[in-house]
Formats: sequence, structure tokens, C-alpha cells
Amino acid sequence: MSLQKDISELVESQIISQETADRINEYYKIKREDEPNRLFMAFGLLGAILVGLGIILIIGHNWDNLSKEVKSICSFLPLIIGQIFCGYVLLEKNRNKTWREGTAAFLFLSVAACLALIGQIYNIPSDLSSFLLTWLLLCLPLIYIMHSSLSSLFFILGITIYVTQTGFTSNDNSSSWIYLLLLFAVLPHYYQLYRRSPNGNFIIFHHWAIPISILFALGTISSGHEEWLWVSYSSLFALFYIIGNSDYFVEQKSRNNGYLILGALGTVILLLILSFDWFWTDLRKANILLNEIMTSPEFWMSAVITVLSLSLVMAYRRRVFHPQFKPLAISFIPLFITFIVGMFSSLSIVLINIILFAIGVFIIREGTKMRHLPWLNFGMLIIAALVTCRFLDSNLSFILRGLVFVGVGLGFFVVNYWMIKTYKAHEN
Amino acid sequence: MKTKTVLYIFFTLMVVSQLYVPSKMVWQQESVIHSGTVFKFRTAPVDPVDVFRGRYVALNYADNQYEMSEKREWRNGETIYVVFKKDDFGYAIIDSISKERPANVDDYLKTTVDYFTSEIPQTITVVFPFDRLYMEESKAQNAEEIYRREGSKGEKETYGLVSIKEGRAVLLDVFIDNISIREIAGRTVN
Repeated sequence: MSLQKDISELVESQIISQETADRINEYYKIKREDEPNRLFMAFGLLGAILVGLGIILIIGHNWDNLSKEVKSICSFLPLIIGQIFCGYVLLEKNRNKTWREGTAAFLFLSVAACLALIGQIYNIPSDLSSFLLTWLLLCLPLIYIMHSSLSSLFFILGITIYVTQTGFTSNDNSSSWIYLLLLFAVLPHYYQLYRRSPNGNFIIFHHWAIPISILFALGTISSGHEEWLWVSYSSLFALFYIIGNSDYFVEQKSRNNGYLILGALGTVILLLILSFDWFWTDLRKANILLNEIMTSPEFWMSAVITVLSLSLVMAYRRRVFHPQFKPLAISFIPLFITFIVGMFSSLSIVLINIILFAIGVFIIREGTKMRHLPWLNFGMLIIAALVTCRFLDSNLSFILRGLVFVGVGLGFFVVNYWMIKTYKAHEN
Repeated sequence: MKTKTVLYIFFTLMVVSQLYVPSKMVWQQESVIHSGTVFKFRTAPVDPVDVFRGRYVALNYADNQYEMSEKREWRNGETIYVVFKKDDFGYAIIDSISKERPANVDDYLKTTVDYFTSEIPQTITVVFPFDRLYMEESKAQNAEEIYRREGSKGEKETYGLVSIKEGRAVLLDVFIDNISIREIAGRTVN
């Protein structure tokens, strides 16, 4: 409505011609027709999920009056209904996205319900990881057959729960490798989404779901050489950050760029944790045998991710250094060197603090040059957090600590005030 | 057209496998129930901190430890095969534990080592994977309450009736003084 009003105003003020106005109107009319009704889609999906869950709960009541056979047949009902619906959609309504997503989501939940209910009827002991694995494998084809992104998101959530549930509770890390295979299985759909609707809602959810899932899963490969996980994580955050700076992601809104936000925040939080002495004291005490390290999955995972990050830095070297130097993209390199130094010397703790301080300064500089207030504040927040951490492990008096905090707070205020003033002056 | 045909073939394969897996579960459990050997497993007094589980009764078993006669290394979580025998009162006790599938025996249980004590005498605590009895929602809480009260008094005989066949086990019912817990719980609710 407001667009119509604006166009009429522009025509009246003779800024655009009537012909241009008509063309603009025509463009938006076609766009509106092409766009699926998002509200209908959202409620359709919500409806399918709620009905699915409702049926599961009703059967989950475990009616004692019914015989085992009747209960078993009832457990299959939602599954069969889901399959019939999916079959119908595939034959008749394959072009309708809402139908495809809704029926696929319903079937996805029905498979889990059927497996769980059969388990309940026969008092089968619960083994969450094998239940999840069976469920996910049975539903993986849904993603591709129904072209269902909601199923893909369910799948990513499922494999993340599977890997954390199994990986963190047992010494066996075979589930981490199964996870990796399952994640690879969903990537072609992610790519399809990128090709078909690069700015759609579903791909944005994937931009967050996939890196978060990988972050959780990486921790599960630990098998006694956890110190190398820190190297893996620092390289992984850099990898995310560089991906978040690629051509496609640069054009996205920040809140849709999960890789960039997770990469930037992750690196800074990791460095802040490592800026305390405890990690380095433990690292020096650790009995490090080269043979053991070379055969540990943590070491190999660190190596693979670091090589991947280095390759991306090389591929995007222009972007990493121009127009502004992006320290977060290469922070894993000095961190790796510091890690090696830290095995033998306490110098590492100083180096980490210098790295973090330098990152803060570079980000402030980048924010100032780009006139990007959130980025500038992020840089200042890094310095402020670093100062706070150092004050936490020092024996300085409350008055002195108080004064420093007041100083940091004033610094924030002054810099922001100055930036906003500069912007306004620049705009005028 | 060709792509569509391939799509339909994959869809059919998916549908069949989605129906096959739970059907196989049903078939396997039914086979254990109908042609397995039935054992009575004495339950242990219930730990009072054990929280209410909602829709099922959580069971602890008494005779889940076994003293090894010969020294051998066992890992927690390792897969093992357990053969049972009946004691003088007709309850199941562990007869032998092995890392290999026992030959010429049908009623063995495939399970895992819960905890291994390496000090002599070496003891293995076995996971009994039939520790849940699902019931109708409204009755489950009541049943667990009764099981807890009766089991912890130690006066009444409480046991789980379990059918075992070729590694698998199905918990058929829980009895307090030879009366099914479902019956007792139903009675108290009504």
C-alpha cells in the first residue's frame, strides 16, 4: 500500500514518468504472485507438526484395554497416513511447496512415533542413539524425494543430538564419523537450496543450523588429547568467519550470516578463555608423547581443519587483507604458533593477550574506516573483556579496578558519541 | 518422465523400508514372547532417589552381578553373552558370561558390561536391558509407587517375568506376590 502511495507521489512530483510507474507496479505484481504465501506455509507446517505430535501423544497414552496387536496396528497408522499423504503430494501436488513440506514433516515425525510406540508396547529398552540413527536413516530420503527443507532441518537437529548423546557419553568415537557421513548426506540439499532460493527463509535457517551442529559435533571426537581440540576450534571458527565473508554471504544481512557471527564470536570467546593461565599450566604439565599425538583423532582433525582454513585464506587473500585487514580470518595461525610455544614455555600466555589485544585494535580500526558502529563496538568490547579478565586474576584494589571500569565505560560512551557525530557531519 | 519414474521408485523403496523396520521389531519381539524361555528375575529394593519416570515403571534387579572364576580383562560397555540358570527358589541367576556367542544354547542374553571390578575376585555387573515396564499413563505413577513400597519393604516377593531367546529379552510383566502390577495398579486407581 505504501509503495503505491510512494509511486503516485513520485509521479505527481514528476520524478518518474507514468510509464516507469506502471512498470514498477507490474514488477511487484508478478513478484507477489510468484512468492508463495508465507503465512499459509508457516501455519501449514505448524499444523502438520502439531497434528503429528498430537497423534503420537494420544497413542502414547498406552491404552491398557487394547491388546498388543491393536496397539501395534495403531502405532503404524500415523506412519501409513503420512506415507499416503506424501505419495499423493508427489503425484498430484509436487509443485506446491507448502504441501510438500507439511506432509514430509508429518511423515518424519510419524516414523519416530512408530518406532517409539513399538518400543513402548514391547518394553524394548531405550537406546537413544540407535533409535535416532534408525529414525534418521529411514527419513533421509524424504529430504530429496520431497525436496523438503524442514525435513533437512529436522535431520540436522537429529544428527546433532545423536552425536552429542553418543559421543559425549562413551569413549567410542565411531558416532562422530557416522555424524560426518550423515552431515555430508544433507549437503547436496543445502547446495540445491542455495541454487534455487539463495535468499529464502529455509536456507537462512540452514546457515545457522549447519555451523552450530558442527560446533557441537567437533567436541565429540575427543579421546584423551583434548588440548588439540582448542586448535581445531580456533581453525573452525576462522573457517566459518572466512565463509561468512565470501561473495554470497557478504550480500546477506548480518543476522542471516550464521557463519560470520559464530566465527567472530567463537574466536573471541576462545581467545578470552585461553588468556587465563590455567590452560597453559595444564598444557605444560601434560605428558606429551609424539607417537600418541600423531595417532589421536583430535590432532588429525586439527590438521584437516587448519589446512582447510589456510586454503580458504589463500583463496580469499584479497578479501582478507582488502579493503580492511580482517584479523579474525587469520587469528588461528598465531594461535597455533602460540599453542606450540605453550607446550614448552609460559610465554604463550603473554602472546595470547597480545593477539587478542591486536584483534581488538584492528577491529576498531576496521569499524572506524568502514563507519560501521556495531563492528567498532565489537572491537571495543573485546578490549573491555580483555581488561576485565586481567583484572579478575590480579590483586589490585577495588578502587583501582572500579576506576578502570569507569574509564572503559567512558571510553565506549565517548567513541560512540564521536562516531555518531562524525556520521552526521559526513551525511550533511 | 524418466526422473519422475526414478523418484517414484525411490519413494516406494523408502515407504517399504519405513514399514519393514518397525514390523521387524514387532516380529522379533513376538518371536521372543512365543518361543523364548521365561525366567523370573528378582528385583532389588528401589533406590528412594530414583525419580518418577512418567509413563513406565523403572526396575532394578537383584542378581545382576557375577564373580568370574578365571582372570580376564573386561571393559565397561563391552558386549557380552549371558546364560542363566534357576536357583532353588526358581529365580534366574547368572550361570556364565562370555565374550563369544554361546554354542548350543538358545536362551542366552546379549547385553553389555555395566561395571567391571578388576580386583580379585573379579566381578562383572551386567546391564539387564529389560528395566522398563510401560503402562497406561494414569496407572504408571501409581504402579511405581506400589512397586517402590512393596519392593523396599523386602517382605513380599517382587519379580519381573522375562522371556529370553537368542540374545533378546522381553519383559512380560512385573509381579508382587504373584499378582501382576498392572492388576494391582488398576485396582488401586479404581
